[in-house]
Amino acid sequence: MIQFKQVSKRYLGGHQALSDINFSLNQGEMAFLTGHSGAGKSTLLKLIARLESPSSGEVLFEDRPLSTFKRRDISKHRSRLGIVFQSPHLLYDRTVFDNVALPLLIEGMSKVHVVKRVQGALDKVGLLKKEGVLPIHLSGGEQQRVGIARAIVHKPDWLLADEPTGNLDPALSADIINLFEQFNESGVGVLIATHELSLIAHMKYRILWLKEGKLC
Amino acid sequence: MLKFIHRHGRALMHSLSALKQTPWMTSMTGVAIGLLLLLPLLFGFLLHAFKPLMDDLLESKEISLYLVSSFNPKQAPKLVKQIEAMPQVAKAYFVSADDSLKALEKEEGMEDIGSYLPENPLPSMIEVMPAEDMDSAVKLEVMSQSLKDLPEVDEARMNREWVGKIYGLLTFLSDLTWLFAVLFGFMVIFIIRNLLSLLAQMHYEEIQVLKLVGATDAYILRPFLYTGVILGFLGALGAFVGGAMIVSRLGGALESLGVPGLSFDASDLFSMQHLGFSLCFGALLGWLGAFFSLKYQLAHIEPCQ
Repeated sequence: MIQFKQVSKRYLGGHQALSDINFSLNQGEMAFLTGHSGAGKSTLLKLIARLESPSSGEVLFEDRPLSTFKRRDISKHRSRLGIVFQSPHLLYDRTVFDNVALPLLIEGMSKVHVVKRVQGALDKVGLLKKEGVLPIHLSGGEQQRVGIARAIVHKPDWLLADEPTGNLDPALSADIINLFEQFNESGVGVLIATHELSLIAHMKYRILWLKEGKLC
Repeated sequence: MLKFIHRHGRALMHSLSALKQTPWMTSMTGVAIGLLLLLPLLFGFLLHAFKPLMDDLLESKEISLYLVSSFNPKQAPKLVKQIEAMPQVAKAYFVSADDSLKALEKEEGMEDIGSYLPENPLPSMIEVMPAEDMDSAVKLEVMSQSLKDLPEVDEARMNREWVGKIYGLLTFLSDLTWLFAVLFGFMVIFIIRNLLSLLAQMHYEEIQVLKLVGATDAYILRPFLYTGVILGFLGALGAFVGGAMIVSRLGGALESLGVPGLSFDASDLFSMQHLGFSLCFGALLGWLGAFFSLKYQLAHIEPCQ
């Protein structure tokens, strides 16, 4: 379970990104985080991944405050998450296969299993044929899908996605959201930050609305 | 256990592949490390060559007794007998002043020195060989003192004195070798530290991505540690081979000096034990350089946000 208790975040420059946020997400739940640009969606996801620390309040992961995590705990925590950013953060000197394999190599998985899992993840995002290609030769949408494959390949407990369909056309966006739903059905908790209301309006999942850093 | 082997195997392969991609930098760094390690290694080799000579010299325990100028050579057998009766003495023999002068005239350039001198200035002497149980400097000193107390003896001189001075000099050189090893060892650590620090900067984005997907500092550090170890290993190997080649040539020159006891056993120097020690030393320096360079640096690289 992920819990936010009176969480606020003010950046060094003085910008108040989040104010007094309280909510919780149960294990295996799928939810959308929405709001206008600058509403604090990305900051909220970063707090869960411990890429940022709250200025006040506490973020709890499975009832443990993230602020008490040591360096090694933080690495372990991130390895239980699948993180997708709007910018895919790929390694451009490595092939698509090598990029997607990273979380598995960190786990120390054997080569046979790595191949199987990576090909499975690439198949799901429709890039199996491009496993040997360098990311620089892919379109923005394809690179985004490589990032998604990397986020799901190690079967994380939680999938955090920040505007994952930002670079995709409507049809592919729907496919990706469908893919996230499939993951959720297999027990993976999913939290997707998006400003594309048209994409989520008809969906049954919980929606967290952020407006100027506050939950509405 | 299997995961451990996989992780280390991958880190090693990653390091080798990275070094292979930068052959010029790798070889130049290896050469720089090799040259730094070569000097203390050469000192070590030379000290090793001189050691048998020193051991031989240190075993010489002979004491020379210079007799008073008024000593009558006819009394020599009696005095020799008296000295040989002492329990500390194995053997003694008399060398007259005339014999000493004759021995001196056999030296190059001294052939007719006797004709220039109004009288023989050399004293008669008795060479004393201590017994086998006189195996310490203190015992020899006591014995020398008791021999000096004899009325016929003007001065007792141990050959060990100058040997001891040379030995002291070699001990100083040995200490100097270690000092060089330590200083140049630090320089190797700093070279590797700077190089890997630069490499880490070049891989800044990669490190950020790795941290984002859950890599621990140990996972990220591992390939760099292997790189440091490989560079230190290559440098030490270069230093050993280069040093051995140089010393092989020096060995011929040393042997041509014809100093008895100064032996130069190249097979001993090329031993697996020496090679193993050098390689381990180089690898350790590489590991230390990599560890100290990146442990702190990695802790301050945060994932891309």
